[in-house]
Amino acid sequence: MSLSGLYIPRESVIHRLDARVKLAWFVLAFSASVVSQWDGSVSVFVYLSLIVGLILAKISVKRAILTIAYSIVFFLVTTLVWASMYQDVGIYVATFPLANIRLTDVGLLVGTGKFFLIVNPITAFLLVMSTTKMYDLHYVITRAGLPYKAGFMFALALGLLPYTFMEIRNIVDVQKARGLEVDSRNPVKKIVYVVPIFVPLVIRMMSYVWDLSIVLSVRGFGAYPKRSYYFPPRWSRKDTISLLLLAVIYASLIILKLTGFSTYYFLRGV
Amino acid sequence: MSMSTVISVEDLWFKYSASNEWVLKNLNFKMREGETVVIMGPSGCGKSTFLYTLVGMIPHVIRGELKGNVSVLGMNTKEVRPEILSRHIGFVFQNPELQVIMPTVLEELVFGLENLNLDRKEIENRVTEILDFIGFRGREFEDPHELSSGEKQVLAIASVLALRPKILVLDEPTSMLDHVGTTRILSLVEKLKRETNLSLLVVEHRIEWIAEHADKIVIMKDGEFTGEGTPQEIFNDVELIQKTGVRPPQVSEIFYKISERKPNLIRNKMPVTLNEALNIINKVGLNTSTLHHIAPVEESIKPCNDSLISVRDLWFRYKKDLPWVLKNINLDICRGEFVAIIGHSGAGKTTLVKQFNGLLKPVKGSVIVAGRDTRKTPTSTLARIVGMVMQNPEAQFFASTIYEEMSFSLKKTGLKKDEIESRIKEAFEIVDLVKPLDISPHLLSFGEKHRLAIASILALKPQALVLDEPFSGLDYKRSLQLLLSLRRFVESGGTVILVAHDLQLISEVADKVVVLDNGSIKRLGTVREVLSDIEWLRTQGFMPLQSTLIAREVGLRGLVKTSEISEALVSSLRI
Repeated sequence: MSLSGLYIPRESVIHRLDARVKLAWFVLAFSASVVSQWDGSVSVFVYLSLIVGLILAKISVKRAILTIAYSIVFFLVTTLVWASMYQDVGIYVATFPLANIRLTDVGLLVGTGKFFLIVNPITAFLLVMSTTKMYDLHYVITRAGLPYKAGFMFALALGLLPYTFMEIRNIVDVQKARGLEVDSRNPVKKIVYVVPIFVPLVIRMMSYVWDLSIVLSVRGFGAYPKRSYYFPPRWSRKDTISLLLLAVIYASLIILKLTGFSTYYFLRGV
Repeated sequence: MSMSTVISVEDLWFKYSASNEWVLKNLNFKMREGETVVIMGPSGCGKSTFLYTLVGMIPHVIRGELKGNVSVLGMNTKEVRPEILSRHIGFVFQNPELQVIMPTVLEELVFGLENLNLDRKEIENRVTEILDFIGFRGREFEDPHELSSGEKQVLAIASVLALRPKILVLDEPTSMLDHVGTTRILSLVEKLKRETNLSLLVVEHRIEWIAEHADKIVIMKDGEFTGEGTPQEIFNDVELIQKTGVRPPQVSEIFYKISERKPNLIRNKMPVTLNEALNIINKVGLNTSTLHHIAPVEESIKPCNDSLISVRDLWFRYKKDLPWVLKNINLDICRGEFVAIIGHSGAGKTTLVKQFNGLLKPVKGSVIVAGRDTRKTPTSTLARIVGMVMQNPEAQFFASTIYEEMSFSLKKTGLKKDEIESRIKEAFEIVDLVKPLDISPHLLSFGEKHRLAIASILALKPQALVLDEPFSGLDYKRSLQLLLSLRRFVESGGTVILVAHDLQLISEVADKVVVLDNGSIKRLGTVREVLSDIEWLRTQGFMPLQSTLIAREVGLRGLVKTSEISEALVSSLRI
């Protein structure tokens, strides 16, 4: 089992950045999304900046697009719920047929803004986790004054994610080999076959965590209040420049938004 | 405690919380500095629990009732936590996959040293030393997860050795490894014994290795130590071996049988190594004319007239951009045949058997199962023709009682209650499992869980049963019993396909052996043909059976089973 978490090894400028820069990137992107949560025409730029980050990190953009694709229902629901609250505000655009919701430009701006408020931090999180070694994150968390066990718990939880999916695949195979149609597309069968997958999964995962606790114990984890770091990350000039650049981009977005800027109204010449 | 005693156990009792049964019963044990002690015993006898008490997992992490004292290098394990003890006593267990946790070899080695809060210079010195010791210099930045299982286990041992413990505890370190991996680990242990003063405590089942390298063997059964002594002393005690069910070295097993018929041959010294056995034979002398008559006739595979699984020009890969895992496989598996598939890790064994029940479908070529093309038949249909039991039984149990577990699939086939009950009974008889049906499957022992997993498949009445390395963690005697009971299934027209590393098990039960290497069939032959070809096995990285080595030395090339070799020797020894 690996405690690499979601890290994807690549040779890229983003991978080479100090973990602290990437954590700052996450905080800045999140802050910009919070500030522009009422205006999707601004928060979409935060999303696009993160996509550029993924491209520079040589990580498949498919990941980010998949995030959107999987959340299409969530996108529709969020947009419609918020749009329904602003039916009487702004310019009429169209009527959503099933629920007879009157869509206005303000309603859509708010709806998409709220959608990006959720999606941007997820994408930023993926960007940080895919390009930062757990070791470096762990180091940063410890340097921030938190106990190193806390940092490790976080790494452990993330490290279990890929393992969980692998185990689900194994269990599905085992149950299929017993003649159970656990991968059936029939929704009733899907519900019936949740138990034969879920119960063994819980047992297997408990067993993994147990074995892992043995591995950690026999390697002296937690023996002393402090631990040393053989590969401490080193801050370089590139990190300073990158941090400044990111701060300028997101601070500009935040300031523009706080001063009332909206791309939508700007394009409309309002 | 004398200066040279590193472990001292006095009147040790332990039972797990929520259990009424004592797992360890009044154990007394001493281990000296530099000694290599091997603990043997059937699965579930308490070996691992005993090791947990030595490394401090019990009582600090695993809760239960502990009586008596365990002292490691003068430290009472009740008072010292396992993470502190790790500096003094290292512990490595079976599964290498779970023990490598970092993204590079270097980080793996460094992890424990950082936990000890050592400075950079000290870490560097220790890492350099251990890299040289295990021969990993130049591989520091490799991903451990890309290493072979054997190499992963070497790395797991090295990561513990880097902490410079005085004692190293290895809990079945080779049980999940292929032959190459096993050889690698055993060589490393031999090197540790030769070049360091480390005290080694090993739970291991490779008897022939133990007989040559252990200073002392401790036999455990039902939570008690039932025997202790040198390999000579232990394997000379035939009564103890029979009582505890421990597997003796094959040469000893051959001579146990000979001594039953010729009691004057061995008086006090039963051979435990190949050389000792050959010395006895040379001293007594062999009647070569008798041997000539006994030597087996060359045999080869009979043509398959009634093929159940027919594989033609099979090519398979998991994704388009990945290399082929199976390359041009052609194979016929007949009804009423016991086929063993062997090969090193990554050879494609599991990928091949998953084709037989449609879990995987051919990319090129075809697999025909009982006349059905697997590409056009759903897995749920094929699963009723070819049942499959995989490595870990825990991955399949989900119901709250054994009955529910067994009947779940049967109900889906539309069987009535009477028929379900009769099938469960029949399947339990085959696997020799006697348990109330209203208890949870999770309350069964590891070996019983294996048998239940097999029974749940047999109850579906498949025409073939595939066992994919089903015996990890199960002792030889239990595994053999289970396989022999499956011979009954074969004799009644069923087919068994066994994926395994244990050549001795295979020699006892299989008819045919398929050797896979790098996705291709390297060799296909009868058990006798393949397992007696010692040179070929060695060039392929397999460890030949000791029985075949002795057979070759005495001119009985071709004999594989200990029973047939002892029979041949009885009639040929000049006594």
